[in-house]
Amino acid sequence: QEVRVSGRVTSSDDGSPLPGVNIAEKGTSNGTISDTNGNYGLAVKSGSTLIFSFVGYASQEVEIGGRTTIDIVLETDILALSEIVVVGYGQQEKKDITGAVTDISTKDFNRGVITSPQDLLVGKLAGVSVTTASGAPGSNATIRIRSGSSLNASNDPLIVIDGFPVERSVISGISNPLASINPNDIETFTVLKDASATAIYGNRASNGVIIITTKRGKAGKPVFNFNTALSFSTPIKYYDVLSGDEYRTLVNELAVDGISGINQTALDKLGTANTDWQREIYRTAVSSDNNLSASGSIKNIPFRASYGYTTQQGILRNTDLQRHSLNLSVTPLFLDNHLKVNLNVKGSNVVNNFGEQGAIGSAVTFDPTQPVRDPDSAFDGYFSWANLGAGQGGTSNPVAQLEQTDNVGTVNRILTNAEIEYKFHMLPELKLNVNAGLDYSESDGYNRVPITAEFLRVTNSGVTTTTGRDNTYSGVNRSALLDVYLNYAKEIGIQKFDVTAGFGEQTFLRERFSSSAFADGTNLREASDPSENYLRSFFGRLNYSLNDKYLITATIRNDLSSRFSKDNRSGLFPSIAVGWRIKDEAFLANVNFLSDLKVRASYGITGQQDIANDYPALALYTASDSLATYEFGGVNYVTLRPEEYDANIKWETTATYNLGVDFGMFENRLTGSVELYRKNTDDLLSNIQVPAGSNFSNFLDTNIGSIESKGVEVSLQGVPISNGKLTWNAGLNFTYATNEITKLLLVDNPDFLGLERGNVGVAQNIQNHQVGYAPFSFFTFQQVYDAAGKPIEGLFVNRSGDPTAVVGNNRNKYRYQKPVADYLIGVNSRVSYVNWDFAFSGRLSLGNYVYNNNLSGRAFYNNIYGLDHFRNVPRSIYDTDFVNQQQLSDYYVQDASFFKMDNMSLGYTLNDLFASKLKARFSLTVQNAFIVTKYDGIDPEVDGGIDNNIYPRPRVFLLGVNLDF
Amino acid sequence: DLDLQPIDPDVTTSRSAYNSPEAYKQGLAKLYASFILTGQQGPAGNSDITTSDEGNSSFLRQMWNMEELTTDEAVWSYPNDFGGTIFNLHYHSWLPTDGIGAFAYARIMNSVVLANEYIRATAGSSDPDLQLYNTEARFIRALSYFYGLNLFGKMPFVTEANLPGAFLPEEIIRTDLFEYIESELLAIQDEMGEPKFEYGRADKAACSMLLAKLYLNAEVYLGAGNERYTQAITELNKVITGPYSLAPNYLNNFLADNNTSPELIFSFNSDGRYSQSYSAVWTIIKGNAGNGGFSGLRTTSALVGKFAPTDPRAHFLKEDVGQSLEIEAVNNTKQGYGVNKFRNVTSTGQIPDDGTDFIDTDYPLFRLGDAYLMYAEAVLRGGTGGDINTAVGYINQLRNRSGDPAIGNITSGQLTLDFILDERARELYWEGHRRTDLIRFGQFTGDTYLWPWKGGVSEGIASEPFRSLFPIPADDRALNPNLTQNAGYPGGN
Amino acid sequence: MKNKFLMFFMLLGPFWISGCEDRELATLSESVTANTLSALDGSNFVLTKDDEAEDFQTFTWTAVDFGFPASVNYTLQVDRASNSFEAPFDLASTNELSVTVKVSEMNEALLALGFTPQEAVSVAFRVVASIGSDVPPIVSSASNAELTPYATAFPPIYGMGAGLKGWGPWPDNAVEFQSEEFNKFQTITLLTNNGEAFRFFAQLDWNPVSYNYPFFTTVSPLFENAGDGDSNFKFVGATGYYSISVDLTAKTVTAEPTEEPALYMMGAAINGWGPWSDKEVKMTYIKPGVFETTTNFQVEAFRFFAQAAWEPISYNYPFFESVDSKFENAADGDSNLKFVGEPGAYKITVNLNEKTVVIGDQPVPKLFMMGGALNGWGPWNDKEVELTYVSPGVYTATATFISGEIFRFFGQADWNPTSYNYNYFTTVDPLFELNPGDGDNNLKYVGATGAVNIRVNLTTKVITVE
Ligand SMILES: [Ca+2]
Ligand SMILES: [Ca+2]
Repeated sequence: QEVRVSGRVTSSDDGSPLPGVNIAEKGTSNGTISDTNGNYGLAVKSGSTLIFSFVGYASQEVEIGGRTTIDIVLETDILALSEIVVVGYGQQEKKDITGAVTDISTKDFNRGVITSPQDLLVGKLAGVSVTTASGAPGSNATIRIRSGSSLNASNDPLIVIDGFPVERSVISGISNPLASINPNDIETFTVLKDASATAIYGNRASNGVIIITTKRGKAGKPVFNFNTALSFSTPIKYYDVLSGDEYRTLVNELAVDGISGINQTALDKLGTANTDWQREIYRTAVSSDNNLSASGSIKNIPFRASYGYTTQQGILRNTDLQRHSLNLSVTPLFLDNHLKVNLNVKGSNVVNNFGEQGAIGSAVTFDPTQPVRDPDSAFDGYFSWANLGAGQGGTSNPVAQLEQTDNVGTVNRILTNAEIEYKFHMLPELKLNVNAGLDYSESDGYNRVPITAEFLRVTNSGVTTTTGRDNTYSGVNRSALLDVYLNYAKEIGIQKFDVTAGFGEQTFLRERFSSSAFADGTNLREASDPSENYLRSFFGRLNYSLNDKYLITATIRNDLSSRFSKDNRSGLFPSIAVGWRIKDEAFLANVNFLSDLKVRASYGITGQQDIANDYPALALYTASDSLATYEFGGVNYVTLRPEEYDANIKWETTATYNLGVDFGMFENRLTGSVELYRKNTDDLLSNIQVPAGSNFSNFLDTNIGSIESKGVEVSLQGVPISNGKLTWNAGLNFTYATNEITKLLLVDNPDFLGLERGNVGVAQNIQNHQVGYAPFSFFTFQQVYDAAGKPIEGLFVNRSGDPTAVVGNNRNKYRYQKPVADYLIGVNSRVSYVNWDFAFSGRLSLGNYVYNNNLSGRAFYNNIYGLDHFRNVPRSIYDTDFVNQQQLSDYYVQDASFFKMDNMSLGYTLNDLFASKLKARFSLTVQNAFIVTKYDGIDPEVDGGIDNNIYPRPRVFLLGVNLDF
Repeated sequence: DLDLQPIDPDVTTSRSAYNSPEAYKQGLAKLYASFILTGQQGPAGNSDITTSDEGNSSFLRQMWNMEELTTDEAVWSYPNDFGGTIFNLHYHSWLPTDGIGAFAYARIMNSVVLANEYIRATAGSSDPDLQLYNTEARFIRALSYFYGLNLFGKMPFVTEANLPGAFLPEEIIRTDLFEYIESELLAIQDEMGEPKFEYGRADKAACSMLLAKLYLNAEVYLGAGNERYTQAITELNKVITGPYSLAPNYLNNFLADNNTSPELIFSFNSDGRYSQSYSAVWTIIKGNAGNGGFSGLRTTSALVGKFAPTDPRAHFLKEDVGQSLEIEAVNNTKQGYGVNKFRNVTSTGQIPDDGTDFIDTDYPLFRLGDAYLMYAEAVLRGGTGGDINTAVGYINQLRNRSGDPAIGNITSGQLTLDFILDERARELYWEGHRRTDLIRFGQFTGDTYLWPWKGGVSEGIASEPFRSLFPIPADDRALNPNLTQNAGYPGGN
Repeated sequence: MKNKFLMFFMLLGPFWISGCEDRELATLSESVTANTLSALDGSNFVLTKDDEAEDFQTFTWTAVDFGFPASVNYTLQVDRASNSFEAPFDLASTNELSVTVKVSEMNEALLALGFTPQEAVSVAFRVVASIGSDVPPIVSSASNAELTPYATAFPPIYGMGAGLKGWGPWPDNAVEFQSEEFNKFQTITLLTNNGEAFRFFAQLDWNPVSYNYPFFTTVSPLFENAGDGDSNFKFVGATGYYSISVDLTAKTVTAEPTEEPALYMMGAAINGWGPWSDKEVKMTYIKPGVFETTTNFQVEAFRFFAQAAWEPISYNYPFFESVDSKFENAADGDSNLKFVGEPGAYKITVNLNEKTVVIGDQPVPKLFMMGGALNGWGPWNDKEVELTYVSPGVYTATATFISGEIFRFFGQADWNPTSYNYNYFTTVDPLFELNPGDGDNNLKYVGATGAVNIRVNLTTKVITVE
């Protein structure tokens, strides 16, 4: 017998009606959605139970009993455990999840000048590290989930946007593949960390998966949101070098001692100026970010449309980024709600002015006694060492570098997909899903320098000519996707089944065209490097739960990659996970402080095939370009080279063990989870040395080596205070991770010093891969100090025991520290009091070390004068008083542990403006508020651990207005 | 379909690579290019071998470093290069874990495997062009192995019978390698092109020169008593009676248009516009101290002192450009004379109009002047088939070719082995022969001959005798257990 | 409850502190203890040349602890015991804790320190440990011993004085006394009983070391103290060649009369194959085994003879180890030397000790006379008179001069480029006068017409008539 139930859903926050709330009849597929006024109506079986659920609010189950009108007040959700979470090829209730899955949604995102989606995540999630490459507008960021599991293959996680796994490869003309996505359109990030969660993405899952879900339309009368932010960015710190006067004094002292070859001829070249070159190249940058969106339904078709316009200036002059983005999402229902369509179209246009970042290093080095401009200069009026006849190897005038470089890339991208879900009429438990999409980017750009610029030049037989530069490039990335899968969900008594099976295919095409030439068009070289790879997959998943307490998830995926030969193409990636909701057991029923407790365990195998080479198993020949030909009898012939290959190359595999506990205490005022994991990657896709004579090069892409990663992750969220006026939310995430190479060669041999990495000079490396150590460990000589703690020039510890000199014997080098942090701790807090809110988020990174190449490359007296010109030096030259460069000293491997206050934000919200038609929030945010560190470079956060001249991350002051109407 | 084929127009599969006669010549060009260029992009990019510095991976550059930086002829300025091991070359303290030897070693084997592949691709053809290409590929392989023989003694041994893959090549010991190279060269000698048939390609004379070098050093390679001086003279006579003559001016062999020098027998070619690399020729022209370049290279007073003040072959950059004669600190770019012998100007004083940072000067691997000196030495060492008066005549031709007789003729009484060694230094300095020469004369290691910074001290001290062979790189021994270490080095016996 | 919650945040503290923890730095000790050099296995050593390849000592010492594992370079030094290592000699450098020094190396060190061979000297050894130029080296304890070096080089001494070849100049007039044994010297030289003096010098100069008569304890009676203020030697025997031996250790000078050392050249290359006493060229004795002369060579054969006779001793081409390229083996059955250069007069030097034959690069210049006083003013290759080369710059000729006529000398058989007129010479025999006013300042013969033996020295610019 059916009854019709109706009512109104309101928010516990302010009593306002909640549109778009899901109302479902429990145990059936019957349901509806509340309208703009929060009203709903639904025909149900008498005696049934209704489930009210809405993102951001706690779900409620209500037995209808005899009622026909049920008004519901939904509580703002602090019980995160009951959310719906997007997982691969489907979604799940968080309480049913057995893998290591964590998510973050709009309200938890970082605020500030955010041009790339991953910036929203910085410091927010345990086990997820996001390191932006630099402070340049649109700069790339490295995302690592559980520190990555590969040596040479990609360590980037798979990123899935609205069901579409996107291309990892960066197209020329943009630094960051995600920068074309407007962060404002993102609703949630879901991070899948363990194999149970990721194995459904088998072939690309070893480094974790980030699922990005964009905002969708909500049924009802269209509502609008407009937000705008104006920001001012300034350099936090300048590199500490000598002023013009200090420099003159030092140079004259050195001349007396005859150091660095400074004689009268040299002294005559000193200028009279006091130029602070760093202040000449940086500025206070002004940026703005503007977004307008409309969401609602038109003729019962829910939609969301948004337009974003971002213009960001870099603090380095002549660098900026502009982005237009359009995002349209339409989610109609057809065939009596049996056919659900989700159509997404994301378009963007990004213009990135990269400028000339070489000016950063030049500004540190350039002689501070020289002026910026010189009326006698033949080079567009910029002071240049060439005026003094130095010619070769000089240091370039940084201002000239900035102003004479025109280096702009433009990228247009469209990412569109249609997800269709059909619920069979005769068998509503069975759903067919089809996801078809296309991700298409095209770019073009140029990097030009006029021939009048002094800093690009060639010298032959004493004659120096400037060349200028006219480089152009263009590119296309095209990825097409088709996924088809069936889902069957059935509840039989206390047992629940949820089975998914399907197949997918995705193709990737990358085209790169580039030409480089001098400004006058000579010395032209053109290159075209198109390449493609395909992936085909079959996958299945079973979720089973017994009595809602005992949970099992099993997945399997069979992947085929075009990168491997027929025989090795197929990889099988299974996983299994179990969960136990202990809190639901009777023996804990009376443990009151504990509101939730679940333990999880999983094991699975994932694969990796993503290496730079798309054809590593094929015997190929490559022709040379026009500048690498060879002359016979007056004719230059292009050359033809056979490429090294491994016909047997195959999948890299990672086995992951994960143990997790989710808990809630004090009525879920404090919730959290703890994860322990171990990952073992075998058959590493290494680019590694092979025996001389065995292949067409000394290095080969092949499967050798193993890595083991282990870690502990803790997440805590709490609401220490919550009353009508004052609410305090706080969160902490803690990550401890280690990563160690366990095998590097077919037969490991102590004579093998490891693979060199981290180039810092001519055939000069500072990092090393070796068995028993973390990848990219620093490989240096151990500095000896005097009793006062000052390093003694040229004196190092004999670590090999070889009786001969220490320097020059690589066996005396040792692995001292590594770039990756041992501990990462993120903290965030948000306090709201009536209309005010104050939030901050910060990060503590411990045990990350940086090789300070800025110092090692500059802070020695013989660097001051050479190749007939002067170079400025860091003031810390006085800490060491090194005369000669000591590049391989571990003195320069410095503890770069830090605490960064990434964000501090103060907001004020005005409700009910213009008769409740407008809600406004005003905010003031400081990004990069402060850094606590012992590291004496500009910024301790150095991706890769070698501090050259990175574009400094600025401090940003941001004024924002957010209007809902 | 997942069987993708490359879509890059520059890339073909091995099956379709040689689909035109032109393609075969391109494949041949690669074999020659593998000695001087570093990859498929000029001047660097898409490198042949993976190293920490592509420019430094040029075969010629590392061969040059090992032949010259280990002697009295050349000194490098930058101590941090190669992880701080580059000065080990000066100090005679190199180790199996140093980078430079590993670069050269990898290069040698890379040229060998490229040649092997090409030999397979051209095998059995009835096309006379392809037959000749095949022969030249065997010469290139023999030449590569010759450098292995000369620098490392024993090498991994692969021929066209070894297909690329993941296997452990066998080791070939020095005496066997000698015999292999000799047998290959003798087998192809008559099939090579006639002298000067095409500039840049190895011909009969190049083959004879390589054989002569093998024979002249036979006692070094095979042990005392295994002299082959008569065979050396036989080969040298073939070279000398060929269509070569001394360049009218000594310098013409080292200039941007040295491809026109009648003296060059075999060269590795450069072109500032179309054939760019950071090879040895580039370094010794651009890296010369005293000429405004990057001042990477100077020479010692021991070389300078071998020249009479009026010797027209002495091209040094001296005090007038700020260089001093003696080197008190190896890393002081102002100490030690620069060597201004190789230049990127033509014999008429023109700077090539490439407008690039790269050079046109070809690397004169074999030239008639060297053949003359080798002839004289082989005669003096007791080889038959030549005579001392002819030898004296050759030497005096070399000494007087500049038209400036100031250094004068020598008499047969003055033509001694000691004289030959010094004269080779005067005539051939910086051409990549010095270490081999000093070893042949027993003066490379030990204390018979000391020069500044030999052994790591400014006045020079003795070095250990085992250093006349370089160590097998530790990395390759770690990868390939078939390889043994040379005596004297850690792991050797 | 709130407190429990905050506790989690407090956990941060320990991590922050552990992150700041510094590792222990390798530090150079502030005061490094000196190490010990073991004593030698004896206190008194006489080094001998016979033992030169033997080991002298293995020196061992204790390691220096610099406070960290260092690559220490140890330098073994030796110096005169009384010299406090002010100017030590570095015997050996090593990274090990011992080094073996050979007798020859030890001896070389002692000589380099300036010690006299065969004289015992007290020396001290020590080891200097160094780990780099920026760290002061550490000096070990010293070990002492008394050592006697042996001589390894035997430099000659020289006789100089008018009693020999003259009082200077150096080195032309020095008579070399060769040595093959420490302090023993010997030569053969011409002694002239001319009442003049000489003495011995240790170097090719007047200073610093010379030996006069009173220095010696036993001197051959053929010599006396010249009593000339320098107490030089004076030869009082019969003029002739003597073999003189000097022993600076025993302080003796002996002299035995001996034959003049002689070497002759004979053959078609010179004046023809005999007869003896006519065609041979006697070479000038320079020092034992070394002879030289200047003579005319034709492209013919010749060889050297130890006596003015065919027998018993002669030297042919194969005898020599190094022969100038202007000669080759005549391959004429006797393996004579064949001159193959441009005919003319050359200076030739033969060293029988080193078995070398060296000949000058260019023929000695020729000299001609031409003019009315002789056969007339040309033409060339007909009328000129060629003078005979005697010694560098010295030419002679016998020619018929016509009284009152003029002539001059020419450096070639042509008018140009070189000629010598009257004004060129500083001393001219009175038979010749300046013929002024002829524009060429020729010489005029003022003697009676007839044959004249004329001798021209272009070096001293003298014309004499014999
Ligand atoms: Ca291409
Ligand atoms: Ca060329």
